[in-house]
Amino acid sequence: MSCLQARGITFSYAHPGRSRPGAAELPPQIRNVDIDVGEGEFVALLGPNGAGKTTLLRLLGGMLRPLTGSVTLFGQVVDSLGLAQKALWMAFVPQESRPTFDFSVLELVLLGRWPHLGLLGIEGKRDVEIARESLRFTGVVDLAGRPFGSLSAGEKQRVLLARALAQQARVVLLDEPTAFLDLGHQVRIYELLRRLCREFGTTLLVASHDLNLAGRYCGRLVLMHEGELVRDGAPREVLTEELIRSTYGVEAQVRHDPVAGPIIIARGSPP
Amino acid sequence: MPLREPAGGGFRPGRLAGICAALLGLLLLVLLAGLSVGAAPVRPWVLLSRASNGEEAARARDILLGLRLPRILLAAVVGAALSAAGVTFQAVLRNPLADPYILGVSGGAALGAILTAAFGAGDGTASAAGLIRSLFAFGGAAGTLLLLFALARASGRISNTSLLLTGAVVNAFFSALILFIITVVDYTRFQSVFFWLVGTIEPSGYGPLAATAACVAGSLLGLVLLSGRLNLLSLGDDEARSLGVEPDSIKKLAIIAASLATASAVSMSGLIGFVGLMVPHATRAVLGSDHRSLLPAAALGGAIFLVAADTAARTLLAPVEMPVGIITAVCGGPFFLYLFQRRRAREMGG
Repeated sequence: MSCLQARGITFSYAHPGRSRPGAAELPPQIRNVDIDVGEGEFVALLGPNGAGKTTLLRLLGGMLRPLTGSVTLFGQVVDSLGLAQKALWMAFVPQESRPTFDFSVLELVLLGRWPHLGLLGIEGKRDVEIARESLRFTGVVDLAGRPFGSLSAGEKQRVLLARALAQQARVVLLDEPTAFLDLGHQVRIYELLRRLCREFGTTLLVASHDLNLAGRYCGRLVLMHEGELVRDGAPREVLTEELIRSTYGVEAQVRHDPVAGPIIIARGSPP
Repeated sequence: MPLREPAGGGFRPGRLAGICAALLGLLLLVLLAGLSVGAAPVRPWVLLSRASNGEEAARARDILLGLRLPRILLAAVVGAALSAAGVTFQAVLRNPLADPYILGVSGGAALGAILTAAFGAGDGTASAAGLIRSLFAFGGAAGTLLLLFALARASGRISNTSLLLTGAVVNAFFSALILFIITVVDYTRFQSVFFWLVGTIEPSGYGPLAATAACVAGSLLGLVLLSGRLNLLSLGDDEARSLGVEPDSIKKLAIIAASLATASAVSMSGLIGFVGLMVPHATRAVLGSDHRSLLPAAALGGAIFLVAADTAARTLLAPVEMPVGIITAVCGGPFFLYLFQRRRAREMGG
């Protein structure tokens, strides 16, 4: 069953009234994208810089409105859903978070409880328990009292993931969660995500630059190029030498490992 | 290290009530001290003694209840308003250096207030005149914020530098306009207006004091109700939206409330600077960044600070009284430079 669905969505930052004279190069546009994410799937959104991955995530997450087409979440149009209701069903993990003020780790994760709180927005014991449980799941409960700003990039990412968990949403969108991490942290974040998907049945859509990691952990890959979806399928069908050449402009060799799946070895740019 | 428990348990209303009770006690002490000192050697306890003769007691009562009490109460209200407005502007603009004075919002309010005086509408001490003046001051404050937001939208985001430059220019421009208006309309009031531009708590009647206190109390109540949402705003628009709050509508409400508080304060006391910068930062350093605690505590802290500063302004050079704005600027200027320097060092260091 499809829980997150987009039909014919188009978006442009250069929309009349939004364009500014002298604005630097326009960010990517989204052209007529259809996508269906089924419940419990772990899907990676791939594509070169500027392909529109982040824009598509923000459209799916209801942070941007498509110019045409519609996004539905569990059968309801996201735009008409209301932000508060949407936040109960779908969480978003940004590439990085820079709060203006230095919240403690626990305070930041408790903000994930906001959609569940009453009018006054005061959390109870149960909310604190859920926040600490989430921190335990992502392995950073010991940092609960530390200022968020003092953490390393890997720790921060785990805290942001914990905030999404505390939100208890069934769908989580992640924007390049491993962008600033070393190999060890990258692998551990993907392992966490896979556990989340398997143990709780959470639906995950993650924008990523790392073809190998995505191919290793995600059951399904969606490849974008210049605002369009060019291929959608199992890692073996998406990570091919021709597609990598035509989208990333890189000569690559793809080897198939029985455990890790497709492995991409970059050879250089085409002559 | 902030006073939050290391593995603490989120926001607790009981703890906030304790903090506020302690700050209220401190405020009462400062108010009592402010009531006790002044140019005339009159102490508040003469009101309690029955031994003094009639004429002397009446004179003491005049000084204490007619001059000193409304003045220190006004200082408390103005300090609370400026400090709460500072917290709000910092959260809404996502910039810890924001403050009603530095942003030029106070300048806009001052221009609005002086316009009513120029046309004779808001002059005098009747509370109706005070209300008209507050209304015009509110228009000036809101107009300045609209200007800031228009500039921000054109460039996508307000950088520290453009925010500070705009504020400085707006303040200088408005001050010049104010002095021009006064020169043309009523030159004899030049000195009092000049004091007002530096920021001064003048003795006022209880009528205008009550009107100001009502406006400030209303906007503080609104801000306290919004304070949980201010936490989400300080994460940025995308994250606020993904957590279920529309940032633009919260910003509008918060700005209206904070502008009203600023305008009420400025129309009574002029351009008192840096209160909205120093007090929120000091409070944040002690209590942490959760706006649900920060906002009420900073409002009380602002009241305490300004009553103390005004008492100092009255007594340091007694019998000469200086505008309290001198005291806040002398403390606040270096404080601002320190914050600015620290932030720049942090941004450069990664």
